[in-house]
Amino acid sequence: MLTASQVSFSYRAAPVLQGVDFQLKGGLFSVVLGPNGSGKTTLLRLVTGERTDYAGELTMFGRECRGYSDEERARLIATVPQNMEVHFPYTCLDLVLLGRTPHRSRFAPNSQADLDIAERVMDETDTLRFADRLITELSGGERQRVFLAKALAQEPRLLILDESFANMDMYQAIHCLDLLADKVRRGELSVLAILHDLNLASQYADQVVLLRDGRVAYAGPAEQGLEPAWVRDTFSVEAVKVGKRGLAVTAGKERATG
Amino acid sequence: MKDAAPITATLKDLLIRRRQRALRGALVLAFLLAVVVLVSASSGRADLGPGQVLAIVLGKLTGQEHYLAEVKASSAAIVWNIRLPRVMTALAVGSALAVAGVIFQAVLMNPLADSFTMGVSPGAAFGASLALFFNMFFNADWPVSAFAFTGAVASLLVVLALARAGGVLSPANLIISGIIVSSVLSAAISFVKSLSGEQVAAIVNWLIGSLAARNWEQAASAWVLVAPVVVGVALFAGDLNLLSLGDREARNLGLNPARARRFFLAAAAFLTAAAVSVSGIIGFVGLIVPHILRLFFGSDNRTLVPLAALGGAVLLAAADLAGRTLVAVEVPVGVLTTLLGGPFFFYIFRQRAKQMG
Repeated sequence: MLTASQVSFSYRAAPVLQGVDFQLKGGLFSVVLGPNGSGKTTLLRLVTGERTDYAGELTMFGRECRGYSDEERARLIATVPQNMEVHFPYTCLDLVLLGRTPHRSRFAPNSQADLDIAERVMDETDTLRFADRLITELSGGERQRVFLAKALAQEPRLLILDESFANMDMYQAIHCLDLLADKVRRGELSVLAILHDLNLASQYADQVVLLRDGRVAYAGPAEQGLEPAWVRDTFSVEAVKVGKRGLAVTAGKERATG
Repeated sequence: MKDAAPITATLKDLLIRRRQRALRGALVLAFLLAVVVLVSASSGRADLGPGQVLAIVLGKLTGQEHYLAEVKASSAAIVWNIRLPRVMTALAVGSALAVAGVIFQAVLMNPLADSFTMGVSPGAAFGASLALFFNMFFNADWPVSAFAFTGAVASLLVVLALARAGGVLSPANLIISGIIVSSVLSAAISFVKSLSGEQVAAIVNWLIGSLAARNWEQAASAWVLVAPVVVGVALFAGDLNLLSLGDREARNLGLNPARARRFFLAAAAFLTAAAVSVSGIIGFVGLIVPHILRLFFGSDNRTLVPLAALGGAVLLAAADLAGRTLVAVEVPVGVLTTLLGGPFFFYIFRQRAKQMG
């Protein structure tokens, strides 16, 4: 689904990604992990077409990322931003229906099918009751759920999360991730997520790309990648295995070892 | 899944209710428009009844003299040659300013943006001052409107170039560049004014913004310039929704933000330039009209653009009518809109502060 081969990228002179190689399979929940400044967000920017001036090959669904037009890409991938500010009082239904834009012609009004899809995704994200509310009136967590609904209304083959649920309370974040994990399992979409919370990441990830200083430290199935040793080397924190796929961060390195 | 159907019905009802509301709004505005035109054509120093005005309009439009039989020739001349071209100009200018306001706000992602923020109005003012100055002191015969138009477009190009030099063409860069260009231009206008000495009145009068003594030629040229652009913008207004969410969201939803922004900024600058070149600088219409409409009809630019076209026309025609009939001296409409716009702006500011809690 997403393959990188010797992908490098720099902002002006500062190299951010250096010779990144990985292969992510479709139909899975993929997580990109790494400390701040390791190049995670930059990698997503290349995938979403925000930057096209990278070196190497980055192919998505068998085609070079920079080769897609904005319209074509919008029919394949959707993104839930981290913390989007909306400056105009749109209703939540307005916003969710904007998610249908890539699938209808510019001048066509919303069809019954568009409305059905909006209703389904708003039901799934528990935002139906906000349909007529203004997005500017909602709390941060509620707003993120509306943006998730909008992204799902886009019916993407690949859903990209950039720390999308970081401002939600634990219950909401888990509810959203469960919803997406279910959709992945049912084969409705693939997920590519940046998650800072190692605990959550280890619970949901099927495959991981671990980045450190712009290089791939590990790419592959999550069970082998998310090892306490790697966490210690990369994040300078201690972690222990919990159950089959869980990982729990315990405390600072000094205290744990001292 | 049993109760899915009624929920869909509700979403659909929501949309239908909103569309009907917008439609009712459009009808009300169209009605007000007709009233304002009729009252504008009848009121003034020579007060005429609406019946007479209708007779004059019918007679002139159809060319059938019998409509005009009952009417004095001087009345017909006042209505047809003076009042109607003036109010028709007001409609076009008001539409242009309000629609330009909607565009600037969406593109700059800022509900408080207008043609001044982007340096377009100051550019037009500078172009006009320059032409007036050279006409006065060097016996030049420079067309003031054309210079205003060129000034508006040129300053937009400078703002775009500056914003791009600051990196990407982001809304923040555009606003900063607009402020820079605006302040330089205001200083330049002051300089031209100070050079004009005692004859500064000509420039001041033009800059104030007025619709007095517009003829049919000016009204027609305003309509020809404004109407097609407003229609074009209304057709593509869905893209304004995407742009107003920011570049990243616009791209995620399949819109090339840079290209769309250039298109809409060009349209807005053109509308402003067309308005300013025929009426001088008229402030606050582009700010007030979209704001009021958003309160009643929501933020969807596909309804906002056509309603703003109607609302701007009504507001400016009404303001001009008030300016020339309510007080003994004629108040230039540019002064009136700004006088009323200032307090209104403060009111919006207070409302927003309350909303933010």
